[in-house]
Amino acid sequence: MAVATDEFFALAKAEAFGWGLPGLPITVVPHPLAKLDADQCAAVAAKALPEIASALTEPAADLEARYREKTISTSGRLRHRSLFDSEFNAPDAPARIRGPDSIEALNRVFYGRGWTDGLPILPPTPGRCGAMLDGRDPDELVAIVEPRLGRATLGKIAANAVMAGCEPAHFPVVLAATRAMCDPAFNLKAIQSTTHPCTVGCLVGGPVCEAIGVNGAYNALGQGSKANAVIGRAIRLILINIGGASPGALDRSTMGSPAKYALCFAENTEASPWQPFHDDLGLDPSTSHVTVFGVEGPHNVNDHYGRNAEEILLTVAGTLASPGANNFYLEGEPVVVLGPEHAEVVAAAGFSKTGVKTFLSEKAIVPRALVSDAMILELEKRLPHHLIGPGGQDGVRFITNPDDLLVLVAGGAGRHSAVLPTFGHSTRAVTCPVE
Amino acid sequence: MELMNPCGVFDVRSTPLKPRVALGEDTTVGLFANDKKNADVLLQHVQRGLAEGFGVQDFRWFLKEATEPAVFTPEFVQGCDAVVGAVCD
Repeated sequence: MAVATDEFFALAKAEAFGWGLPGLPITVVPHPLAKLDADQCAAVAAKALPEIASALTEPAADLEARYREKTISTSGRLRHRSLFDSEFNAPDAPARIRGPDSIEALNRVFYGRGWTDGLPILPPTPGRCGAMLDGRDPDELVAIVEPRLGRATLGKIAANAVMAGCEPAHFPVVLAATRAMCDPAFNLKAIQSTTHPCTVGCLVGGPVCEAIGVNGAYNALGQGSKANAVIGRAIRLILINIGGASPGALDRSTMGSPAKYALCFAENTEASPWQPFHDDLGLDPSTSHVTVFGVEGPHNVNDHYGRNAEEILLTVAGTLASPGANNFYLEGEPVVVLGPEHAEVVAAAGFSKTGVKTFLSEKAIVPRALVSDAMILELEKRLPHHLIGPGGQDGVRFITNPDDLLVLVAGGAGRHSAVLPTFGHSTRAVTCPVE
Repeated sequence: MELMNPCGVFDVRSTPLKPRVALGEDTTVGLFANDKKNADVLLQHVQRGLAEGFGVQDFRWFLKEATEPAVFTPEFVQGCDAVVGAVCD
């Protein structure tokens, strides 16, 4: 049996469904538990104890029947109930449904069911989905999407790609991203359901970028390019409609992030002084690939005044060294996106990407004055090798293994770069070919 | 308008709950916390309540890193008659 706070009951229920235990007894206690002192925790435990004891001793069949029906509050929340008892995602759910003829009314219905990101969608008509599939079997299974374990078939992915505004040429990239984010190394369940504002960042590389217009130059991480926007949005709709990541229910992000609408980009390979990221991985440059990262939205690095590579990289290191980033106490693979003008200066000084990583890992230090005593205690348990001097008196290293940093080049003219902290060590960048 | 259903079919499996046991001194209860603050504190109080109120003497703890999937040890899975998990925040 499980004990969960009321705010996290839906997530606990989804986890139980995932284990094949829809009738798992779940005792609900008030949220938040984290702020309570020991006496208050004792009071909560005492109140819950009778139910916990009965959940451990009553006949299993009785428990299963009762807890299977235990309902979830839907007040003020989108789509709580439909995640567990909707006719649209049951095993016998219809492949085709009827909707209003007017696009305005249809969008109201889809929004009301929690099937959108809040923005209007394009209706996933059989004709549009058929064009996306181009003769492929809509029932072919591509992946299982956490946390609700939705079956991402070609047909379901196509419907969400259509809704996002994708054209058929975008579809292979969406498919590759879906495969990548469902790789166990990516840890999508945690990415989807954490309170952290991470999302699935999607780097596209190879000939497909030019073929379909994935932007790696001006505003690469922002709006304005159709391919970037619709591929990124299709990924989000797949996470919602197939993975069940409904905000407030299974998507538990406290703050959210604009990056959760869409974060898809290319590298600016023409302006980069180094070979592309996918070439670094030893992949064939004549083929296209997608890499997904479990990242926050971009943090800008403005350095207009650095007189040399070291000064520019020092500003990058200072931006990386954030005590509020998950990577600060969970390590992981932070992503550094150097703008071409910064990259040019850095490379001209003789820095390879390896040299950049080494420099940044040595210089990205959070001053002790910006780290709470409580966090120092936590770091002493988790990452004592990050503390410089006794109790971290000389600062705390943000990263100690240079190879954990991922370095890319993207963006247009101007002396800006960006860093994208990640969820932490439990998610790894995953690359899949675009087929 | 006819539309394709965009919702993924959820994988629905149903595994019966393990038969329950009487709580007592011969029972081993597992306590599983997810590393969120006070999850372990709550379970410490549950442990005390099960010991004092039901005579349970044997407890086994399993703590996981919050951001990682739980990978239970065979000793924990096979050695416990019942498990109380705390999923808090």
